[in-house]
Amino acid sequence: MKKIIKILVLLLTISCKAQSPIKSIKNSEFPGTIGAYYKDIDNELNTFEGTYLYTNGSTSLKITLLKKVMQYNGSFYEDFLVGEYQYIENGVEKVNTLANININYYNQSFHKIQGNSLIRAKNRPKCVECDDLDGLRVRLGMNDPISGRYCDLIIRKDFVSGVEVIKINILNNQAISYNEGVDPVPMEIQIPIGEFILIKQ
Amino acid sequence: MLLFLITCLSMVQISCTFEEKFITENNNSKNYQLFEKKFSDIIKEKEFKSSFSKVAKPNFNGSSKTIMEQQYGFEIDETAIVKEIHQNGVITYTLGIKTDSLHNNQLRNLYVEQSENNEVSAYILSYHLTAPLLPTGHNSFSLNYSTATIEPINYNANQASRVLLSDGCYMSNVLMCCEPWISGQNGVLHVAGHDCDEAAFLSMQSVIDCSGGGGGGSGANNGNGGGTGGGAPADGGSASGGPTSPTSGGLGDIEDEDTPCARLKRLFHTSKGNIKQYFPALFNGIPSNPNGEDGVSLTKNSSGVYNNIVLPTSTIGSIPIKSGTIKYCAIHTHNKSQYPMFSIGDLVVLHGLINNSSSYNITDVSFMLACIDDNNVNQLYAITYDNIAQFNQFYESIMQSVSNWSVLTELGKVHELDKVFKEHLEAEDLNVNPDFEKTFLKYINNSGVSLFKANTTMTNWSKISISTSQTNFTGPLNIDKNILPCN
Repeated sequence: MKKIIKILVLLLTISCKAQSPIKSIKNSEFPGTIGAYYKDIDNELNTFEGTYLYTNGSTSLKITLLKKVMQYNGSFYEDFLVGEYQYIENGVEKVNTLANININYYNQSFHKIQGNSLIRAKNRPKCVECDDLDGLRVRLGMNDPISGRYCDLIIRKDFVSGVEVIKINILNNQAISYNEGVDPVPMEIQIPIGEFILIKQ
Repeated sequence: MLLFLITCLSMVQISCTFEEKFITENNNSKNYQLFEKKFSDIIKEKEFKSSFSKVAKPNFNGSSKTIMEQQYGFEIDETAIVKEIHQNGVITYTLGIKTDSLHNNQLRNLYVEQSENNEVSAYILSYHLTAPLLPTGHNSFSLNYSTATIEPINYNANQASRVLLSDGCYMSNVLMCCEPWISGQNGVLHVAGHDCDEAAFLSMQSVIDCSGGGGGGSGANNGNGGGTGGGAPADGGSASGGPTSPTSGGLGDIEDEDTPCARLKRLFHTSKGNIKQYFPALFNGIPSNPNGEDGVSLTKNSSGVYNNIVLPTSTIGSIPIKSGTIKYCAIHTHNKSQYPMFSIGDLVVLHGLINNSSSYNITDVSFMLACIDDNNVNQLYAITYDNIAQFNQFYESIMQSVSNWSVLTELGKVHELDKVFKEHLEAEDLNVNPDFEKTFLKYINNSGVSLFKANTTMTNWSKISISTSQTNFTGPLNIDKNILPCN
């Protein structure tokens, strides 16, 4: 009987060890714990979901964001936002990946917008118009399919004259280098850089 | 630009053999270094100032010209690029001279030369043109002339003898180039310009003046000179203080060392990296360029000739850094939306600089960051390798540690690595006194790469390291730093 109890306790222990530990997406780790689940415990990502539009004459930027939960990336599980976008510059459509928003890729990295880094007002780029309580922002990666380069997409939810908007800052800060004469010269980024206000559709 | 090119001595045709001048090529003299600098920049350099001040005393009668310019009837063209050539311990500065009505058909340069013994001499080299200047490759001009005259500047009775040959002729050394516009074959010989940096096409040559028109002054105590020369400057020759100590200071022990400290200290030296000239312009550009970057690419060719290229300002993001062959280092800025610390992408840039560099440059490779910290203090950081094999292993390991690494492009992997690293910087940023150096140090611990910070006068570096042997990047940043100045 004692042996049976010991075996049961041992099995229970092993079973407990094998459970995926649930961690907050705010607790960044490198490298991520294999098998862990990095969860949006406070559902802060939800507030950014939706479709948003910026227009200025014949130039426009449309972004759609969706939250995905418990997605496996080959090492661990995590919650994050994915998105696609359309950019029209002076009447010419330069990028349009909106049709891919509902594709359930086997790997969500294929979406042109993806990420889950929650940042505060003090973080760079500093949010001068928000305090810590109102300073929740999310930093996502934004891929330019033409140049292959990645930007940071900083998003803050806000209201302007009672209208729900996102204020975004697209930053092209990824260090870039190439072996002259061997590698091709990196293409210029094709998506707009700077600050924009997009109205929720 | 034209004036600069004119003042840059232009080209001498090989086939020309005149009675009073000839050209000889010194095939054994390829151990030289050529720099091209703005007058406004070089005049601030201690080494140049020391030499120049001996021959060109300021004028206190209200004229903007120096006494030397007044006495010899010329005016230095301060818009022209100054050439600085180092060879066998001798430094020669070539300055442009403005054209005037009396010298319409002449191309004139002022040469100031500092010998190994720190003795300074100066002379005016004039070409008497027989045909208009013709443009040739590499921003130079071909030159046809009948005679060349060398007029010594006699600023001091103790002036060292200069370019006087046994037959009474004067000689001047000029760095020449025969690289054509298109690669493959030798082109027309001309004075080496900014773009001619291939050793195979460079040579030092001597222009010789046997006319005696500007002659005179032969020995150390014979500074009377002929022609328009003669006599000390009107200020009584106050440059008689004798040779000064070398102003570059301490180069000898860092010349050939292959240590991170020596590597980085060479960046400050005016005959090597000569990077100080780019500050504070780089710092000043940071607040006014919120979305972009500035940078400088540092090169050194197989002949050991250093040259720097200011990269075009980017207003829409990061500035592409070239690596390979002659490119051994680069400076870049971080704008105010970025943290004042290297990114993981910057480590990738260093990896490229190291692995794409030529064998003659590997001991110079580093990557620099100019940024403004949270206290609005300008900071200059550098990363360089301690152990290349260890760094390459580290590089491979972090690339393969990226989740989804098998489906991501190289840029995608770097983006993923930077994403996580930024989260750590952002977490550190929420502290009262954030220390982003610590965040980076934890990341590069045991990576084969070290972090350095320049002092405020940019005369030395300090290695910054963590004092513990933590290997796990997770966990709190309760670590101590060691800051060890380079010797």
